[in-house]
Amino acid sequence: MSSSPFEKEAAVFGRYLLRDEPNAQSVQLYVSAMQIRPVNCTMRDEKIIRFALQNSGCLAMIDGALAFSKRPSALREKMLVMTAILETQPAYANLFLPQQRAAGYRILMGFRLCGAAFRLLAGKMLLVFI
Amino acid sequence: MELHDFIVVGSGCTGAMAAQTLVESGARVLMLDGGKRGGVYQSITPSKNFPAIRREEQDQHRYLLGDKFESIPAGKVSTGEQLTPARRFMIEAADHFLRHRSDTFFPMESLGYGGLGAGWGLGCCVFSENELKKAGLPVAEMQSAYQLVSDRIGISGSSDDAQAFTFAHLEGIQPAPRLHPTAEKIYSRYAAKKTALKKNGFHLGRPALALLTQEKDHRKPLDYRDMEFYDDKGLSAWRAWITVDELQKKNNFMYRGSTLVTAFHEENGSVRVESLNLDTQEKETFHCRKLVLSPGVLSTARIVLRSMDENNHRLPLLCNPYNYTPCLVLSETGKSLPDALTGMAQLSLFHDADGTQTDVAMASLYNYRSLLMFRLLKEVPLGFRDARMLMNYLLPGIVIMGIHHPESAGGEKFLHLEADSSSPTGDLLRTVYKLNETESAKITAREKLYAKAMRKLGAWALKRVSPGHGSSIHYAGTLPFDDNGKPFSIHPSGRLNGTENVFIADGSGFRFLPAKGLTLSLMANAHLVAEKLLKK
Ligand SMILES: Cc1cc2nc3c(=O)[nH]c(=O)nc-3n(C[C@H](O)[C@H](O)[C@H](O)COP(=O)(O)OP(=O)(O)OC[C@H]3O[C@@H](n4cnc5c(N)ncnc54)[C@H](O)[C@@H]3O)c2cc1C
Repeated sequence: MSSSPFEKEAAVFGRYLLRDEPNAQSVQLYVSAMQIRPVNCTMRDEKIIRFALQNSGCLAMIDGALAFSKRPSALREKMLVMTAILETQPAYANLFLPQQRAAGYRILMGFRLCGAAFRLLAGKMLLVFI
Repeated sequence: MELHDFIVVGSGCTGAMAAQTLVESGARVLMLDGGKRGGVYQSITPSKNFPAIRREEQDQHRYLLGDKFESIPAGKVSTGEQLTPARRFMIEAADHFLRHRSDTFFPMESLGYGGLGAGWGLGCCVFSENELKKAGLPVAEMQSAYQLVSDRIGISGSSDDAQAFTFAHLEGIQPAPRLHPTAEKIYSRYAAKKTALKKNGFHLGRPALALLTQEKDHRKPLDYRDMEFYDDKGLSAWRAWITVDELQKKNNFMYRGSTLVTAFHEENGSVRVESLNLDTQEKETFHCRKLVLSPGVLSTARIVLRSMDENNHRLPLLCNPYNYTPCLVLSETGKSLPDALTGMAQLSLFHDADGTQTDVAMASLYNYRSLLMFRLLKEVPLGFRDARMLMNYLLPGIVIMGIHHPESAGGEKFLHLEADSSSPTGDLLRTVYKLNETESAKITAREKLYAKAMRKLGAWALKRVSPGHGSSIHYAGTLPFDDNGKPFSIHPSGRLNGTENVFIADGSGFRFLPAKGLTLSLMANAHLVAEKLLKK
């Protein structure tokens, strides 16, 4: 497999996880990771990954639904690799290292969790059609 | 043919202690060992603390994830998943040379220099009198051996409610390391609630750790870089290879790595030791007057079964059941953490229902930072982005409670050798391990009590994770102590019954496995075996 599909995966996963373009080193590390330790995909996995890459706006929903179902998923395995790589980039350290938060942050977290629940439900429905 | 006085097999905690006792008495010792070495990652890890590395070092992915991304878990939770790249050499080649199959039991074995003791959690506990008796270990001798081992390796701890379970009466204990703020909170809450908790059999305190907080010999005190899982700078944590490195400076000690001992045969008052060179796969033979086996319980089982030509013989097995539960201290969430921390166990919570120290469970409480957040994220039932935001907020208040349960002999827990033509040794070890219903029910009930106790301490249990049987990495009991000479057992002197000159210095003889970390007891027993051998 040429590296470009992996580059695309890295870019899509990075954008989803960071809400920003991932830096070049993260993309390159993701490509190496996929070459060194490829993720095994079933036909179903391939379908889901293809759909997620083509419809990156739905990635959060699909990811949420797959996480909740706890079933093994190649898409989540690939995203775990990208998350690990991003976590070890100095540029993104503050996204992962604990920060002092104001008391009101809890309310924000509450809203985020409601959003996550909505995404999960939407993802579950989406997965039925993929 | 060179006839060695003593051959010690294995450079782990037990081999290191047995060899040190022999060498210090002036005996000539050859150590045969798997001897796989790490070091590459340690050499590229900077001397900065963990947050500074995270914020500044462009190459951190190399030592935090590994050049082959080997530290990113794939698939289900498994034994060894927690090992960082720098510690992975411990298990290198073990899959290939120490073949093992099981549907229910997933052990970790080592062919590394320093064995599993190159990456152990440093938790040290003396067994109580009742536990020693149940295990078949001599009480008075073990108590003095504990002191000797403690003086050798250096232990820190605290005189608090856990002391009776951790270092008990040992002297020369260094002060415990500084606490993580969340552990501090739990510790002070315990002070207020301890009457009720103790009534229910719970005792909380600082663990005893083989971790220096003051200088000892050439080793430095803990530097609070929070990098204990990645490097051994300053040597404040005792690793088995530190002792073997020191032994290698002595004239009466010889070390030989890349050697897999496969079997032994007694002939004319001496022992012929068969081995396989791990690099060339060629057979090699050594001769000695006395053979001391300390390659870890499962490896010893293989060697003994092969040597006795009893492939189908079943040996019993002990392994502490182990589960872990992330807990949340809500008041500590959304806070930044101090840069200076240690990732080692912060607190120990013992459960001793009847107060006799016979059937004690032990929970170790860890705070979570330097093992990286991504490992936790995959366990959260949310998409990665939502999970990351949530965990970033919760992380300072997360405490991982790992619970070890005691294990007695019995039930369907055994192992035997099977032929396997694809294995370099021509065989594999097959293990069957099943807890019976009573055992499982007892574990579940106890873990519920733990969750309740943690709630009293202000920490809410989130989710119980079962990493599978074998994941405690505490193995014993395959050749239970017996003074009647029964085959496949060990005489209290450490001699393998049915042999004259083969001694076993690892945990194979323990008839019971207390939940407290066994390694201090393994080392004390290894010293005693060597000492008795010298007296012979
Ligand atoms: C991550 C982790 C955390 C742990 N935390 C704790 C803790 O906090 N407290 C605690 O009490 N215990 C802990 N343990 C368990 C502890 O590490 C072991 O109990 C201890 O290391 C066992 O020592 P050993 O010498 O019996 O065997 P090993 O450590 O397994 O050493 C075996 C040695 O023998 C060699 N060897 C193996 N087979 C052969 C062969 N056939 N021929 C030649 N050489 C051979 C290997 O190279 C190695 O040097 C932990 C273990 C791990 C992995």
